[in-house]
Amino acid sequence: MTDGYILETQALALAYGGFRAVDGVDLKVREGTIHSVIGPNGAGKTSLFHCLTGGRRPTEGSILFAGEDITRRPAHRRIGIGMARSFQVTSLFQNLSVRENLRLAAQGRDGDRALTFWRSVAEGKAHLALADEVMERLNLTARAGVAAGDLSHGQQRVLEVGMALCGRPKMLLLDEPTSGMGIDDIPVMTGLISELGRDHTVMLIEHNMGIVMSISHTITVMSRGQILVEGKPDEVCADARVRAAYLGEAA
Amino acid sequence: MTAFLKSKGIFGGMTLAVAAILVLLPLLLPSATLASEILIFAMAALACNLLLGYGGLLSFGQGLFFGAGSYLASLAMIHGGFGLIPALLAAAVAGAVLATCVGWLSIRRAGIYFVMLTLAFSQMGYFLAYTLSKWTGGDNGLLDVPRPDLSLFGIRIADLSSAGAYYTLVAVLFFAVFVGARRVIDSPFGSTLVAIRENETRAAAIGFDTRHFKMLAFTLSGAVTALAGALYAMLINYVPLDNIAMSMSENIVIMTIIGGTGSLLGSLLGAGALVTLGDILSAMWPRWQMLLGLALILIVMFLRGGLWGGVEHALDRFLKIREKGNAP
Amino acid sequence: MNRRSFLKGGLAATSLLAAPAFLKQAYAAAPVTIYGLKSMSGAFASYGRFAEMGSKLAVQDFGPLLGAKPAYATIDTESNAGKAVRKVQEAVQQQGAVFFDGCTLSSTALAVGKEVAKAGGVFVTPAGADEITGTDCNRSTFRWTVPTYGAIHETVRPLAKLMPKAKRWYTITPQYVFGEALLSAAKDLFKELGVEHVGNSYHSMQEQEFSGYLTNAMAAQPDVLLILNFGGQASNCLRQAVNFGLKKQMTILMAWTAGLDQFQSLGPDILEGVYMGAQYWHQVQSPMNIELVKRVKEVYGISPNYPLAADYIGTKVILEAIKKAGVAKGPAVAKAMEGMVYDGPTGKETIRAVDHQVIKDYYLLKGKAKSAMKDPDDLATVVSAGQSFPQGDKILCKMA
Repeated sequence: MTDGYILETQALALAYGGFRAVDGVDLKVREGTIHSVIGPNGAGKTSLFHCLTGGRRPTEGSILFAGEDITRRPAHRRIGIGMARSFQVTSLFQNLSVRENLRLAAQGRDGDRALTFWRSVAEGKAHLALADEVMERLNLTARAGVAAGDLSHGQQRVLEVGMALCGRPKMLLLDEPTSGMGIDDIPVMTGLISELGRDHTVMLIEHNMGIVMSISHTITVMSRGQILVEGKPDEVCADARVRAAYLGEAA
Repeated sequence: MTAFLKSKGIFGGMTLAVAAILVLLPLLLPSATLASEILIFAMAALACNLLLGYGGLLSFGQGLFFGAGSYLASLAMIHGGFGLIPALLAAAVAGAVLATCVGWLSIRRAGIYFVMLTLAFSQMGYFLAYTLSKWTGGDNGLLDVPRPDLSLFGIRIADLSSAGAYYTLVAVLFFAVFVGARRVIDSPFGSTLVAIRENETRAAAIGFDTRHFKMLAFTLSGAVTALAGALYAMLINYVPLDNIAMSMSENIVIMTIIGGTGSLLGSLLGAGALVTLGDILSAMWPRWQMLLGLALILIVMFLRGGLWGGVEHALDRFLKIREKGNAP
Repeated sequence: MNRRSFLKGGLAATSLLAAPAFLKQAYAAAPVTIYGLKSMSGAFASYGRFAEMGSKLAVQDFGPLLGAKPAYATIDTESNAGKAVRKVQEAVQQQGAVFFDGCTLSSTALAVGKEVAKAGGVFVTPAGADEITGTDCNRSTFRWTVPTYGAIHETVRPLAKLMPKAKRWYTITPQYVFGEALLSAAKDLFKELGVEHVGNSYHSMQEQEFSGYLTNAMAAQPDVLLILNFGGQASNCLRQAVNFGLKKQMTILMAWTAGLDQFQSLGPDILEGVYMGAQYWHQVQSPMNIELVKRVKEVYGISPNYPLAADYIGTKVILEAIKKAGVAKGPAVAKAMEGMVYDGPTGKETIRAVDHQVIKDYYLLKGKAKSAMKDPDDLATVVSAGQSFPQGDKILCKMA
């Protein structure tokens, strides 16, 4: 880990045929910070996210996490090194209870050690304890036995974050956590994320400027697959290029 | 009622119900031989359900493991002088190995391609058995399969030549498999398998290598299915080529679906229904298989939980009505 | 209760509650009984239907046996060997069944034979595999049909004699034990007759599309095309051959046919001029056959076909043997059957003691033109008939 950066990319690129969705990105995320990535549609945020979470293999460049090269690591092996993600489109175990969703996420850290078919689930007390703890933190204990699919949208988005949390990660990668949330629910998410930021590194992709400006330590603005501007919220807000990128997109 | 059946502790709840059924079955049915056949196919349906109901994997290749188990156990006894237990073990191991190979190759593809691959392997097995007729008897089948005495460490425990004695062995093994299946389902492995079925992408994101879990499911399913095949060979002292044919794979899947994929008890109902319906209806009407097709369509369309779902529903309603009746 | 609940409950209830009652009824035992193993359902249901008619008639027309009217019970093999064996096991254990007749498939017959032998019963079958009275023979099993040796010798030899200039023969063979046996017998006979075997096409048991093999056959320019498959495959193969115009280029011989039933489905346009081997033909004027044809017309309104005749005589022979032995015990009846000579549909038939094979005629038939047919069943004439069976040390059966 160099200079306190927990996540670094070097000349990262993702090309779909001739189209370069991510076009040479040198991203640096400092440990213990809340780092947001924003940009107009088509800027390459989602593609960047895919590379970071193992959804797609970058065509060029490398990714370093805690000093280790994880460029080619498959998605299921990122939990093991301390990276956990949430999904932009809610991807929970709809028919399983809230508690079971979280317990499974906790069990995920075992990876192949969970292949033990002769043991009882009840023996995994640590996983159950962690699930209960996270449930409490998310304020969902009252809904412990409810099927995830029966929660309100806002609660589902919160559970999404909770699932990532159960992986006991060093870093959380959250993909548009407030996506689809109503005005009343957003403060809950904002509060949760800033709280998480105290003992985790958090990287957010977001469209909601309110959240981004209020809780981020650093903001990276992307445009056309590259980093346009990076800096503290007020710096980024004031930057003319940022305004142009957004206005240009709107025009 | 259903809460009682699902009660935790692998020896309680539905396990007690199964134990009761196993004791009553040869008494309710005309013969112990018929009862044995039902349990054997229930075992195969149970193994299929591990893949289908719990893993979300539709395998049309179960006949391959069933037939392989039949042939291997029989050949081990005939040419290798294997006793009963070694032959059954050999069959289970062979089934596990075969299933692991088939699983490893098939799960590289998802959905319809996965199903077609399992079908293809099953057909390969059939033609192999057909061609290697010096070993398998080819179309004539493998005849003179013995049913050795039950012995442990060289000490003869029981003579299994009577239908009742053999049923006891089959019932004990079925019970063991049933309890084992309950454990597997209520294990970290089982819960992960369900998670993979529910949402594979999420399961991978939280840290599971989904291929490993699917393969283990195949391995376990193959071992149990092969065991069932071996028991069938010893039941009729014969391995027909049909054991490894596509019709066997079909029948196993149909039994699993008709019985109900939501519960292990479905395997007993499904096997029982298919085997006995075949016997009863075939005596009445040569086109009875049409009724079977109709039943399958009705169940898939209206009775999602299969026959077991229907029984559960009926029992719940019955108990609710009784409650209402008892209320002052 | 709404319709959904009713359907759910009804379906479940039917399978659980009704089962024991129906089962007990289906398995109800009967007195001194002949058990007919017939493929009443499944792939061979059409065969089983006629076989059932034959056995039933034989039992029906037999007078009192050991003081009472003999009875008949059907066991549906469901065209499935495993099921058949399990049902035989059950019949032996639950009902003390001793006498069995039938089985369409060779695999079923072989397995059932072993099961019946274990129980010391008697089993007569028309199934075709050589092993039934060959390497897998046993004290309980008897076979009425002529196996591969006779099927080849009583067709190839007379045809070769009829057509001395036909020196080039091509074969189409199903690649499994039975087909191999027919081919091997044919090849031996070709050598003996000095005939050239110009080629062979193997095909699988599942094959329905024979154009490739027929093209190969045409290319070899044989004088005779010898078809060694049977059942649906033989019918398809012949139809396709005729469609290709093969009849104009060569003579076609089908060594193993199912007789009238199969001929009716093919029709005179296909069959005209084609030579066919058959186990039974309703027009044969043996005393017993004349009676049988008359009786079957009376009772069923049809001419007897091969499955009907085969299971009729198989059943009748058991009944006669029980009468001869004076007791309904397996070993005694089997002993009475060994060496038994009786009037069968093909004339005088003998049950050879050494291998329990019935020594009887096999026929070479020739398909008739539509214009020459006197009635709808007059589809072929008998060209030749005779008895050819392995003798002496060629007999593979070694009974304990």
